[in-house]
Amino acid sequence: MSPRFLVRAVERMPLGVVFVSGSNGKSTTTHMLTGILRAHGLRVFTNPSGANLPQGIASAMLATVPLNGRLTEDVAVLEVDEAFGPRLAETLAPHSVLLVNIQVDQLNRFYEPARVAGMLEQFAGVATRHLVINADDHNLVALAERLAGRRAQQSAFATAPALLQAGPAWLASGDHPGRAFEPSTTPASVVVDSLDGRFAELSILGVRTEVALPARGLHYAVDAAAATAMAAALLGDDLDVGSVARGLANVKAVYGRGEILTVNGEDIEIMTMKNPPSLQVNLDYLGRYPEQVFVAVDEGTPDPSWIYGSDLSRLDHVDVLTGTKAWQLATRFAYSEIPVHTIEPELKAALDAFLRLPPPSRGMKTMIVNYEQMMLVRKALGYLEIEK
Amino acid sequence: MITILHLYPRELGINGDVGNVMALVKRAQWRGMSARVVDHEVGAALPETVHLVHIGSGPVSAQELVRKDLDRIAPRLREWAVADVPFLAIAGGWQLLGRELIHQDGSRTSGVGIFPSTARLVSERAVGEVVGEADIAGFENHGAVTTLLEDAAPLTRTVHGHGNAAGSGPKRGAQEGVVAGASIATNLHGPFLPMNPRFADVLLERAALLAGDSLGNDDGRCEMADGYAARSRRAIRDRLGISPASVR
Repeated sequence: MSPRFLVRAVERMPLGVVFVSGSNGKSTTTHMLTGILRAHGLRVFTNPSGANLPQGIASAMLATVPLNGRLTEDVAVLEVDEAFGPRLAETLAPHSVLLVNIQVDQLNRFYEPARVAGMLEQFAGVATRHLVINADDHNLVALAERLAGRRAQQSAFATAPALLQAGPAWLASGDHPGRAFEPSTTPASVVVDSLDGRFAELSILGVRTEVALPARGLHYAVDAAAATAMAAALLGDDLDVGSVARGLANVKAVYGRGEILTVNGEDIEIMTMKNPPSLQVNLDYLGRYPEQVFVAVDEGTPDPSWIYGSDLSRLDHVDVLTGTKAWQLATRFAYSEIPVHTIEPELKAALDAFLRLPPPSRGMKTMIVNYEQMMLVRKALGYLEIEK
Repeated sequence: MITILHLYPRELGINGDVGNVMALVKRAQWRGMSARVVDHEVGAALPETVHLVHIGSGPVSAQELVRKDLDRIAPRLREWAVADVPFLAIAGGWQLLGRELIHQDGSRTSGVGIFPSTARLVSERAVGEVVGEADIAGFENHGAVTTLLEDAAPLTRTVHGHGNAAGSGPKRGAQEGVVAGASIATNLHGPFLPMNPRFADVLLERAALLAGDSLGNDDGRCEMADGYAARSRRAIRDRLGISPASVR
């Protein structure tokens, strides 16, 4: 892919290129920012959820760019993988950067938060217009301080301390549990003030606004605040809180968080366990005790030890367990006294066994799988991949 | 009843090492002995009596968060070690409980001294599944070259894995972990005790002895979990192409 192609595609966009990155919630935040900007009447180019590596972004652009090579949209809002952001920024310099959080990913790739901060800083430093950060994330606050002399204007979003304390530990603590409940000292343009089920109250530049979230969960409210803060930075005086609320109301829960597949006329909910926060979000989103549960974990999760730190109390049994890590998962379930009815390391046989179960009397069949198994399950069930 | 002290579960808890504590509590319960866990957080007072101590792993940034508090409680920890209270320390937690930790910039900090070992942080991480002699398995993800002092005995020798030699060392025949009196330290996750439950029982028996309690017979639930753990270790061996004979 020619770098020139990317540069040419975006160079006449009035609001420029926005990178959205961080450990968790970047897909949702990208959707939300896109929704808010569209509700303001802007035309937005964005990458499909999860297609956050340079190749995915380039393919998405190639698919829409007109013959003259220039995208006609007003702004490009791109979800960007932390590790590939620096490289992408070399060819596609972002005008603005939104960083949602830094959480330690124990899956070998990003063991030290300082490394992640370094990657984010490389492309955050490229921004010439706006840098928006999470004021409750000390790593990002420090990053912004280091970049204070650069051209980009800085702003932040935050969450009321009482909400952080009551929220899930990972959201409050990031990589730094010791600082979990220190109130942020960086002034924020958007603050999550309160949360009531699927509704949150945001203070947007001092204006209290109720917004609907795609689903329950404080992390969605924080994502909404992040998106709103970037929208406020981009739009300035043109920001309209009514349009913010309308934009957010249209956002759906993201791919991998409870996606529904239809197999032989039966709906099946499939959720991924990318890392502890994403698994916990999905588990917490489940009703208590799904009636039929399928779990699949393979070498895409080289060390599933972290599952011992997850709260599995929403599960009272597992029907079918598969993947090369099945025995390790079975051991984990044993220590929470969650019976596993069938352990079948081969995916095809396991899927057959699960699909043979009659439809549940309530809810849907539920699959909890890692990313690699999700791809294989989707393929086995006839879902073609378009997002690779 | 035994009391298990879990040091810094919030800071040194991102690798799922809490599974070691879970295994200890459940196995005690399944064998008719009750166990309570005291989570020790930075700044908190220590309980009077402790029968087993666990410390998990975490990155350098997490070690930094607990170091000062660890210095504060070090004398009590050493008293307990002298009184044969068993410790289980994993990777980053082990580095803090050794004699000395040498950072990448060459600076040195003294450890608590529970384990006869020094750790030197290196840039190359040792990451991957590990199989050791005597049917030990787990996952290593650490960046420390650990040297055992005073002819201390390693927990095992690797059939596959860097172990104490870390990322640039050999990938087999390396020492892994250390056994010091009643205590064990290792780089292995899995977590270590659920994956290698016989060590959980050894630690529990020692703790029970200190508490004047005893473990009864397994009600069947240990056996089930251990069957899964044995299959887990076998799956790791198979992935690495290691024959059962070579881990006897």
